[in-house]
Amino acid sequence: MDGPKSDPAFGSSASDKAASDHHEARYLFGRDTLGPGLALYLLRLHGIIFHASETLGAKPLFVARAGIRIRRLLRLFCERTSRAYPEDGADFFTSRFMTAKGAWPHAQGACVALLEKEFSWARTGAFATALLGQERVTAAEEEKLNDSGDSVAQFLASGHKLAAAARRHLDEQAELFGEHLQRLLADGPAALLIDTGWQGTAQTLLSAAYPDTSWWGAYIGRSGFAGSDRTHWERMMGLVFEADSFDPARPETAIVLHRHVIESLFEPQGPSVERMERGADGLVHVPAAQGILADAPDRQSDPIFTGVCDHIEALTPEFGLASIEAAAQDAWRRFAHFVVYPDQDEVAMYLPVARSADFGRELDVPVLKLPDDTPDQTPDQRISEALWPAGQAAVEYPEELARPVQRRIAGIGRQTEMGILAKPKEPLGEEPAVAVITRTLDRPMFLRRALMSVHRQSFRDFVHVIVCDGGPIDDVRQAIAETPCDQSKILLVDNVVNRGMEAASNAAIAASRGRYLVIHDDDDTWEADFLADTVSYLEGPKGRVYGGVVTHTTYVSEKVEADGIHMVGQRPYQEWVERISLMEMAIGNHFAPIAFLFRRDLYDALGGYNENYPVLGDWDFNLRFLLHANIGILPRALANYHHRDVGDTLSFGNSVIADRSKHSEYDAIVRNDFVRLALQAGETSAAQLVLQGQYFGELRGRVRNAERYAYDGLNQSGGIVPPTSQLAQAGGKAQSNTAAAAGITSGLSMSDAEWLAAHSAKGALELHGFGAAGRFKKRLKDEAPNAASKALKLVLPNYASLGSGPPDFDEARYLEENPDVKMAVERGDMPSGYAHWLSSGHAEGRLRPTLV
Amino acid sequence: MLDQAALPDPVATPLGFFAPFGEDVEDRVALCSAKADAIADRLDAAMAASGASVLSLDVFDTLLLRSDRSEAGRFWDMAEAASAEGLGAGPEDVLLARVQATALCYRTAEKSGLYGEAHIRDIYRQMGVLLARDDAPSVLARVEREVETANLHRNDALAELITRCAARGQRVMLLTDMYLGAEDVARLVTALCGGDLPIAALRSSADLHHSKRSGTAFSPAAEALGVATQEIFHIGDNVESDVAAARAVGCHALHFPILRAERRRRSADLERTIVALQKRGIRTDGWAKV
Repeated sequence: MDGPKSDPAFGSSASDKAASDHHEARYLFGRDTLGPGLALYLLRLHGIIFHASETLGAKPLFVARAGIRIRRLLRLFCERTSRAYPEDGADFFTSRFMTAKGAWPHAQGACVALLEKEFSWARTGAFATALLGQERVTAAEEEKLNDSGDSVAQFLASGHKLAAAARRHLDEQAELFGEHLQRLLADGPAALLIDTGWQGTAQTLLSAAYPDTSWWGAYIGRSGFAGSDRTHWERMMGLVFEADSFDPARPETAIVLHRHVIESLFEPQGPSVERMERGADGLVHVPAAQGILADAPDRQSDPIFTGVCDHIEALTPEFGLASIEAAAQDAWRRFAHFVVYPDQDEVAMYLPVARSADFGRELDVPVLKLPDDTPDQTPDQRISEALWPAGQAAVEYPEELARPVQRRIAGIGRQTEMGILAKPKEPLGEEPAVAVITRTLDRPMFLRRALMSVHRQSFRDFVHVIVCDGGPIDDVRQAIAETPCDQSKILLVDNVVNRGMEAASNAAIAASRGRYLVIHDDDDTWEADFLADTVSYLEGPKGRVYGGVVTHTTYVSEKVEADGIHMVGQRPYQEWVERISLMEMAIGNHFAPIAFLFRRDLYDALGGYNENYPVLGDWDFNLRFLLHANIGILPRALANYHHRDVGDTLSFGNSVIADRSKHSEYDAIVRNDFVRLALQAGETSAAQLVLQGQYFGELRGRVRNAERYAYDGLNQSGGIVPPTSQLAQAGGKAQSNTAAAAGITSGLSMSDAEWLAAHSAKGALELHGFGAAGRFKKRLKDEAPNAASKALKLVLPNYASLGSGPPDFDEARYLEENPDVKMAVERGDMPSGYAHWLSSGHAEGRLRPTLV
Repeated sequence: MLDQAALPDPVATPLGFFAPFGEDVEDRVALCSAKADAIADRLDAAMAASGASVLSLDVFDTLLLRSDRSEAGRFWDMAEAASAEGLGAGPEDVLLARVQATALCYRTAEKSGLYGEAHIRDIYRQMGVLLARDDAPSVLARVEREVETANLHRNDALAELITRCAARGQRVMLLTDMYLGAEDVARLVTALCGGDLPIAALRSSADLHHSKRSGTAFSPAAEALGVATQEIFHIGDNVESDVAAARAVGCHALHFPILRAERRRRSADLERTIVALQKRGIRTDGWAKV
């Protein structure tokens, strides 16, 4: 570890005075920053040791090496604050490597998995040498094993003579380890491991290998990574912090950015525990123990640890919990600043510090690297490889350049979500923060689900307004009564008669209070953090920019059967939307009401929803909203937009599916009304925008169809490739993605198009300007298959002449799989299943059943 | 289009147990006292409709109604009182000891489903270790009883319901998820409701490691009384613990909610308490609740 070395900071010309200054800085850092923080840790550790002993019967085991220094500090703390020192504690000489050996026969899978992970940096020969020692593995043998390419597991299972020796070694060490453990625990029911911590690897291994003992852990910190095994984390207590990443609101979590401050602090002089042996007395001995116990840091050899000791030494019984905690809070704040934004003087304290590697590796890893020592590396490489990246940034750059790098390393900054998504305090005021509006009509099954969706929100400051839009009010009351949600948060509005969706929204909003509004229709759902995150968004800095926020949304396909609602599939909805622009909204609505939380004052300014629209009222509202304020995007999929687009869509379809024709009709009405009103108000630009939106939308649709056609042509006809081959490839990729996401099959194939051309009524086609069937066929090839679909929609009456379509179309199966179409055909609304598939089924993604 | 002007006006009604008593109900203690019979009638009718023969009541915020003091505020009151009793520690020390001890005891408690149920005696003992005072548990227990008693009120309507049930020969059970053991809860019930309330059983999660919220408390409680869960009619203020969990195991359940106005007053108290504690340098994140 760090010793009284000459100070190498920033050049070899550093004077003795500079070295002395840095030495003193280390001591003061230990005394004034780490000392107060660790005093609180020791206070908690002391309490936990007694509690675990009293209530769990747990033996305190100070895991050496770090445990030796922890124990020394604890004894000092108890002496100075007049607390009883836990005399029943014991030193537990082990390491992760030794513990893995101890777990070998009892939890071989976990043991080998750890060895594989720890030796992933090396090849099998190096593992054999680390396990058995250089005296038992010759250089030639090591090289040969390295060349074998075997994994650790393969090697251990092999018939190689060194593998046999390795298994014998593991068996022997496991036996000794077991005896050592048994002596320590004396058949007690539980153990409390005391160590610096992080992932609790040793505790996890011991829990697997020795399940009769209840294993607990008291650590300075508990922290993991994406792949960490968290099975036993409930029993791993981080006494200073429990966090995977740095949280500026809890400065002590800065330890995760520089764990080596703690690890090097508690790392004594002395070797790592790699093996045990049986002594002449027949007892198990740990050869490394003597060296570890000889650790005697002083101000000269280890100024930081000595500084910590001196802080503890200065405590008296008069220091109560509150003063210790206050001092710790202040110290961790300074610590966080030191770790996140170190300057060059501060990093100089850690330039001479190196960490020794474990798992049999004999090397020291420097905490920071000097550029002169690694001229082949770039600053970025050194920063990414450093044990303290923010410190390395300070080594590499002057302060003004290092700051942004350090901020990025710590994951903090004005643009990060951490700042944006600070959880709001509840309550926000006398009125509820949010009024959640649910419109319902005769659908108690859906309503119950919607009630639970709102009830499960982590954010609780809301009123849930249920507006019964003309159906039986008693059914709604009963659905609410049957649902285990907090009824006192519910306001029921009886609209008495059906007034339409938008009128229902207005009535519910008028009856409620709440600074934010959101429409939660009875058939949609949220993830639990929808309200928490959207309210935080608008309460935070983003609220100054945006009047509303839309979350990412999941499109849920479902069907209703006698026994309930069944989800059929789900996919991201309108995932291409990265921002909400007025231009895009002028083309069409592109987010669902369920995803949109907005300010009530803006709703008031707009005069609410237009009650004249049976559908698309939300689009009209969004258009007008964007004339007043911006809408932000929260890129988390927190809203679920449900569609009954399979099965019985006539009975349970939502308005988008079941009222498709109405949507088309009202697209024009909403657009015209908007333009008319805008012109009357003198807002000609807005009127123009919405008019242009229609054409942009149509043009974009044509381009997309052409892309789809190109893709189909490439993939299905094999012979017909549109002239713009580049576009075809790009289109093919886009279509491939969309189809995969939507589960949608391709549109009209060329076989359909050609079949149509051959069978279409010549007169009807001529009437609509397509000329003879031959010309039509050519046009189909030149344009897009959807052009055929569009043309045939114009001659819908002639669909009857199509019969049940081309010979390969399975009419019976299509009707069977689409009962809504079957009903339409039976009622005479649609001449055939094929006619439906042609006119809209393929665009809706319905499968084209093919006769083999 | 509909002629909106010709349509009847929409009717907005709040829901929940207290809705029939007016939208502006703000105080359950006063309401349950003034309308004790009417409320008992409604509860009686609901129980009769269920066909259940055993009445089960939650204790805190149901049979014993809490004041507007937040939990964090009560903990501070207790810390001040214990400090004044000569514990040799400042109120900040006592409060922090409570926070740390509580967190530790719940963390290491035996799990009932997802939840660990701590016992107050373990919390007091741990506070004694943290404060380095062996006499802490007895002082703390006494102070806790005093502060709780000052912040609890008898629910006259439920007391009336208990009396009616007993008169009909129906048994009454109290079921609480609480760190206080049954013995301590019984003392509080006696102090506030008198000693003659006919209670057949009182069970606390602290003693049994079974809790309502985990759904494991109802069946053993029914078994102890020798009845099926369908025979139990449970009333409580917590939707998850007292309603959803009870119904999930077959009990009949009725929600007796905390009023919105009460919640708001407690939230206001919590905010005041947090500001006051933070001024004293005490971190309140992670534990301070209403």
